[in-house]
Amino acid sequence: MNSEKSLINLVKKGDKKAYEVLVLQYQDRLVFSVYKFLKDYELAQDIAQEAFVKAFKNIEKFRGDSSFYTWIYRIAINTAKNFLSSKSRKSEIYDDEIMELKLSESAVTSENPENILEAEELRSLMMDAIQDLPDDIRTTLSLREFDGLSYEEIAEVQNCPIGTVRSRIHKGREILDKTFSKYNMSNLETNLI
Amino acid sequence: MSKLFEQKLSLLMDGEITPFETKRLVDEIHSNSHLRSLWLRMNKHKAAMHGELLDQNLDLSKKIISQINKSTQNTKTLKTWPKFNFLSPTYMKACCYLIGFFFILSLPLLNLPSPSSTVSSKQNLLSLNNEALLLDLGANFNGNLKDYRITSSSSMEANYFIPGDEKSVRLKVFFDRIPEQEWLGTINNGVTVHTKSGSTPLILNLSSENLPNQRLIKISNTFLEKNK
Repeated sequence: MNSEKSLINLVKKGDKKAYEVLVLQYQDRLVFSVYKFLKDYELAQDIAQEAFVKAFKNIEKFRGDSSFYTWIYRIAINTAKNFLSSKSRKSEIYDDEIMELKLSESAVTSENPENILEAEELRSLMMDAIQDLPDDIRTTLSLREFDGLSYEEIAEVQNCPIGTVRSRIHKGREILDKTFSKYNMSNLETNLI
Repeated sequence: MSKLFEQKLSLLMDGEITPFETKRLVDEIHSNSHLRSLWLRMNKHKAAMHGELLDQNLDLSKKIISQINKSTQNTKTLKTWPKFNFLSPTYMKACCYLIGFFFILSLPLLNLPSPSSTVSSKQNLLSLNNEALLLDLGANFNGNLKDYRITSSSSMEANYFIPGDEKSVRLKVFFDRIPEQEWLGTINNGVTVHTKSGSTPLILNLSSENLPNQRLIKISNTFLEKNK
């Protein structure tokens, strides 16, 4: 079963609701990837937005050889490169090699650590929350999230029915959602104070 | 029912759902705000787990969909043909424009002069005959025509290769109607001669990076001798 393929097929038929589901699924990852290149959070959002619009308009060209994320990532990075090159051209110091170097450098280091720190903080919060999960749920969810195993493979590894895998993963995500929502609320309160 | 859909979201996230269920779930996410925000949060958890979440409140979807709607509306407007009333002034006007357009296009076929197209028709005639003329000129010095380009409505430039000498020659050809100042302005080296091709007066300028001027003068003499 490939839900992504089904979603893409719906989008190819012009279903914008299906595309919204894809946007909700990938927007954070894409903004993060573009941000690593551009080091500008606002700009990263604009580029990601443009990439999503471009991808929708060109969805017919998506053949499904790679995942949708890989495809849209390429679109976003090309959009970012075009942006950088047009910016460089304006200041009359455009050089392909220099730009490539800049891009690869920025992918490794970030000059704006504030957002990265937040990402790190959220990551450690999630990791703590995962550690607090009951053993069976934690193992099942980790096999899915970090090892990328399919439900069938997890069922085989854990020697349990596939239905159990489904419910464990769902349960794990439910618990994580509660932790995440609590964190969000306390963050909101701190900001209000 | 809602619990069931929540569980389905988890399956959708992992690609473990059938195409039929996907369609149903998409519709449900769209119409049920609770389910939509749960889908948004679930993906944020996932991004956070992998250290890829920068802003918990980020949601670009509304902007993206509205931008897509705008652009599809524009495309639709472009694609929609207006409903013609055949007796309406707009229709008549369009017909007049089309007739005029095709009339101008047919001018060369009717051999009628069109004032606005004097330069381009000259250029067309030039391009019809230019290669034959250049090959003919090249034959005077055993030059193989490498390439050429039309530089204006009355001039062109060609490059030749002389096989025996392994040298190259550039030939600038000006038709006599070109004003003197204009052709003089484009010549800065080599040898220039006034000659004829049939009854057409020509000005030829020969230059080369690796042939001595003496040799160029010899070549230019062949053009002059031909017209004697």
